[in-house]
Amino acid sequence: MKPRFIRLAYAALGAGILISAVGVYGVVSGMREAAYRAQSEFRDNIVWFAAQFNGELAALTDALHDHVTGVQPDSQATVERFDVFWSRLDSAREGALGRSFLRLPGAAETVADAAATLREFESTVLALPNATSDEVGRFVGALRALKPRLNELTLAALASRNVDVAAEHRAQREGATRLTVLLLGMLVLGTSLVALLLLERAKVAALGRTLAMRVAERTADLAESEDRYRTLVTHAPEAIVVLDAEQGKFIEANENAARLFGVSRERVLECGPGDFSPPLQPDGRASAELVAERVAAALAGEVPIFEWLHQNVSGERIPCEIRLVRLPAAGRSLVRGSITDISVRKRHELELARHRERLEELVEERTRELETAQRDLLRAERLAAIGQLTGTVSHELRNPLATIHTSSVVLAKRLGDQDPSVVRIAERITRNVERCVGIIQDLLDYTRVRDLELRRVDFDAWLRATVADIEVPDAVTVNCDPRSGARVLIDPERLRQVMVNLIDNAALSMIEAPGAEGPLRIDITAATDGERLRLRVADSGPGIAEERRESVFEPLYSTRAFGVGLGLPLVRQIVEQHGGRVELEPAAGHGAAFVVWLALAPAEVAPQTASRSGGTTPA
Amino acid sequence: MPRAPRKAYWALATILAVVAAPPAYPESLPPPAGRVILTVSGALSRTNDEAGARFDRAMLEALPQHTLLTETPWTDGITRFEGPLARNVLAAVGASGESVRASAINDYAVNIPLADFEQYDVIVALTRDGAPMRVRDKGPLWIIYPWSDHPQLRSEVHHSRSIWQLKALHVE
Repeated sequence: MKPRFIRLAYAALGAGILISAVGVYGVVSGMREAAYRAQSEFRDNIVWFAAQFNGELAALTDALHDHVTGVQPDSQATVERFDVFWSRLDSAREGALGRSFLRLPGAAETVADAAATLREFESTVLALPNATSDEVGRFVGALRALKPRLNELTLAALASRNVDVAAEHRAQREGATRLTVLLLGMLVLGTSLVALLLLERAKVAALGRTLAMRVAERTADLAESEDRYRTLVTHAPEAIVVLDAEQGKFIEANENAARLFGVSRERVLECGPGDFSPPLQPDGRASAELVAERVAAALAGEVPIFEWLHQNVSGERIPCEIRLVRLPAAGRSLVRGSITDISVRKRHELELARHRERLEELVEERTRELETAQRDLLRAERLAAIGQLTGTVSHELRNPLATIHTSSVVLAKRLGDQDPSVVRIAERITRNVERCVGIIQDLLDYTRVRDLELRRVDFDAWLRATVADIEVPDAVTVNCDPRSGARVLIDPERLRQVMVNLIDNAALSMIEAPGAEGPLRIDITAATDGERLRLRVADSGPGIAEERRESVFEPLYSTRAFGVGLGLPLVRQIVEQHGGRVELEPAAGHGAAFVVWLALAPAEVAPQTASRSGGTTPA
Repeated sequence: MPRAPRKAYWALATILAVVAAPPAYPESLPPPAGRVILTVSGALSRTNDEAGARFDRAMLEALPQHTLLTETPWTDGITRFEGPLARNVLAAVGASGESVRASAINDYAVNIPLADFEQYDVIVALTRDGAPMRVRDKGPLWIIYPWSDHPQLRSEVHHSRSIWQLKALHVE
């Protein structure tokens, strides 16, 4: 390529020089010829023209002279000579040749004067041979006066020819100079062209060397980059595959991909995405359809990131996250897939969800506890207020009440013999005073939480004895049938208060109920339930209205004419002091039923848990 | 200087075209009726005088006429010249030779090779721009070369052969 180009350039240069030489030769010869022709034409025309002028003038003069002298004059010939000279004058004023002649100094004037002379003597000539000798003689004189002027013109023509030749020489010299300059210019041009070519050649050679070096460097870089890339891909933490979208097959896969699918890398390259996916994805769509959709999106320039369920060769399903990206490749549709196994993440997510649920439960529980605590606090505050009041008031009331009590007893004794009605009145006073004292006692009991004096008792026996001692209105029947067979650790005196309050509450609710008829019954049962003892007090009364169930255990809450509303709250206080719980059974038909849960005495737990059916164990 | 009606030589040209053969000339030229304007001498086979062949204007106008439109160094622009072809004039007198010496009223003379007349349509012009030429107009006869048709004729040699005020031809 390179030497051919150089050869071509040299050939062009040679051809250029040859053509220039031919051109120069042509120019020189053309100039010489033109010079010669201009010179010869000038000589042959202008000089000759002037000579002819002279000759024709002389001929006319001679012919006319014959007429003057009378020696063989020929009129016709003379007229012809006249006309010939006339035509000569005309031809000086017409055509290129005539114009060249008129450019001679003085030519125009001479020609004009000659023409005027001819016109002046035309009639004389036409009158021949009858024209007078004088007239003809005058004409001859006028023509002879023209002769020296025509001679001058001839000389001027010759001189101007010389001038012209000199100018021609000068022009030739100038032409030669110009040609020399041209040649020199061409020489310089050619030389610089050659130099330029040589320089270019050197530059091209240098460029070629640099290029070769660059190519080598780039090749090395490329190889290194490829190595780097391979290392990156091969040891990437995720599985990497390259999919040929048109063939639907993987054309690249790293070790992690092979490990993920559970086959060799070679085997991966024989398969497509469908071979490592279950027929359907978790959302119920066909894997093949989804693959096509996602790959199309990637080819369109998006970078889809999505979760995917893969299935390895042993049928194990692996949740994965896949990122697709189109790879630049001329004429091929390549998509790189980066697959991350997210089964661990999924597991963690599940656990986290579970923990979250548990936490929510815990929070709810704690909230509930907090609410209870808040309620307790509220109650305690209320009780503190009551306690403060009752502490003072009760103390102040008890002494007067004791005085009234004693006084009424004394009154009954002293006047009872005289008037039996006084005894009844006195007894009513006594009874009511006792009732007041009872209320004060209740208040004091409720507000002054005393330490329990625990004793281990046979619960069933204790219960029967206690219930039997409690007075109830005649209309009410108490049926006590405990079958727990349990021994419990209780403060019998305090727990007796519980029983009194529960039975009073039941009895009063039945008696006070509007239209209370039929048998008024209180059923008391006891049984063990697991590690606890269950005591139930049920009545056959009207039950407790739904909206009041929540507040029956609140202190100072009473719907009755008598009482301050401390009965049931006191029950709860004492039971809870025993570590137990009291609750109102959900309403079921008639009546209300209170259930008291108490812990069994520790030593009794093991044998008692065996007989959970209850009621059959002998006391 | 009577001039033959144009119709006449148009008729003659038509006849010549019909015959389509070189004109058959009689043994001797008829004598000129008018003033002689051209005398041909030298090697001739047909004459009408001791001196040779003498032509008046009518005799020359009787020959086939040829028109030339050309520039000349002595005129401005294109000029129309009409007259018989020089070779036909020489044929009419049965001229045989290499060249002809032409001479003019103003004593100018020049040798013209006959080859010029054979090679080019050189005419012996009788009119310039449709008008007969007086001696003052370089007439009555002027040898005209077809310069405009043949630029190679624009040389001093051929210019010098274009003789005006022609009066005689001598065939050599």
